Amino acid sequence: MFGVFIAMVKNSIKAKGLIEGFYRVQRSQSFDILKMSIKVFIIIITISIAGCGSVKPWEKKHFSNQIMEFRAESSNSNFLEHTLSTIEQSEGGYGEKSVGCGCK
Amino acid sequence: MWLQIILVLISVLLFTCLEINSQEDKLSIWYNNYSSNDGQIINSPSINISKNILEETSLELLYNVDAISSASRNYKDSKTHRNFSRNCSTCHGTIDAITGASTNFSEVRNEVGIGIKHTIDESTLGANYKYSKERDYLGQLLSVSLTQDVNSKDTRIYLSYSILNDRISPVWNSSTFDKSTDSYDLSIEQVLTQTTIGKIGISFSSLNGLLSNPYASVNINDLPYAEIHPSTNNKTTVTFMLSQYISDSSILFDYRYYTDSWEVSGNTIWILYNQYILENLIVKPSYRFYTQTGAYFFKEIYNQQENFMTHDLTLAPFSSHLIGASIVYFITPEVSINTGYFQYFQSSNINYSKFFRNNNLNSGVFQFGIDYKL
Repeated sequence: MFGVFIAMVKNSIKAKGLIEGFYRVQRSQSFDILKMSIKVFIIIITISIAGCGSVKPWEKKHFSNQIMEFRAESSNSNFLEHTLSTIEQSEGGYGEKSVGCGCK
Repeated sequence: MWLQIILVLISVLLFTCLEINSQEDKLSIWYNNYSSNDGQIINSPSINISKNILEETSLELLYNVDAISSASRNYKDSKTHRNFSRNCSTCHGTIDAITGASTNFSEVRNEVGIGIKHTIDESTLGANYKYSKERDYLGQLLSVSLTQDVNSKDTRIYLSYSILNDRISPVWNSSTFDKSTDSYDLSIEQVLTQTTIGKIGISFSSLNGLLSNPYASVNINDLPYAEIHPSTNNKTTVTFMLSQYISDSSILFDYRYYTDSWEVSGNTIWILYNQYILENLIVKPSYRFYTQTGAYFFKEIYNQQENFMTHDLTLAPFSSHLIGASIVYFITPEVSINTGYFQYFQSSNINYSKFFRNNNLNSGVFQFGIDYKL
């Protein structure tokens, strides 16, 4: 099992490599959209970080409450996300990666 | 299958007795059920444990089973009856003793995973491996990640790279096909006020290999032709999430924009409301709306063979709604029982119904689980 996987990783590194994998994304038709997304992303980061003052540690008591947990981090989200990704084209963006066919 | 689950459960329970307690140590046992109006049923028990093995190092183990069955004639025909050269029991769970007719399609997917996290000051390094096996599909995922807290822990930066290799072996011949996916993820979580947290993320994935379904076909003048998709697809996802605390309740909002090089773009909005009904009881109603455009090569009718052809409804333009609720009941501060039900409605203007799914898919997801902080 691990032998097969190591061979796959070696082939992948030989054939593509991390850098070439990234440039393959660049060559894609969606590169313009990707560039626009990065710009929007950087703008949002700058605004969000610059626009808020530091919150003191003792003022963060609500953040440990379970109800503040992002939806994608809750115990029941993996199955829902995996199921939805098999019946819709959109997928990803929430950190956890699905594996397996799902007969998409 | 059940023997495997029991063995894993015993191993996990033994494992939980070994080490020191920690706030992050957790055992989750879940049962998920999916059923749709085209007859597909998936029963999916899973078990997940994360446990500190050293002071700054934690280990995570995962075991998940998807038992899939379908009484759908369309699904069975498309998956098992094209160029079929093996006997019926290869794919069908039960065969009628008198007529010899197949009564049900069934298969099982097993998934195991292992992950390790190590914390150094404000940084957490992580590595994960997942292995998924079903009769005709082998998937292996390897990912590495870095989580960095900065700005007095008001900001958390997450970086991740993952490689997913799939090997597809259709049941009707001995050929194998490969698919590989490279993914890059970046997200930033930011404390905005004393009661608000925001998170933004961007993700790129590059897929190569067999991206079509080897069982699916396209009808041209009433003759079936194999579905053909491009062999590459590049996907970009941008997400924005917000979590707002309001006395004894919270509102969680998330939005996702998706686009790929097949010219599919999708928008997802998900709103979740959490409300403490009692000190130890939380009710979580939620609603999700999704809409997508179709792939550039998707057509309802093909009059002649083309370079790329598909009748895959996941590549059609449609919209969907998901509505449901879950309940969390804390038996003790460490042990909680969770249950929920979500109903999914999909609607499109597609005018054929000969393929994998009903055009207007209607399905339900039931979940029940126990979370135990060790």
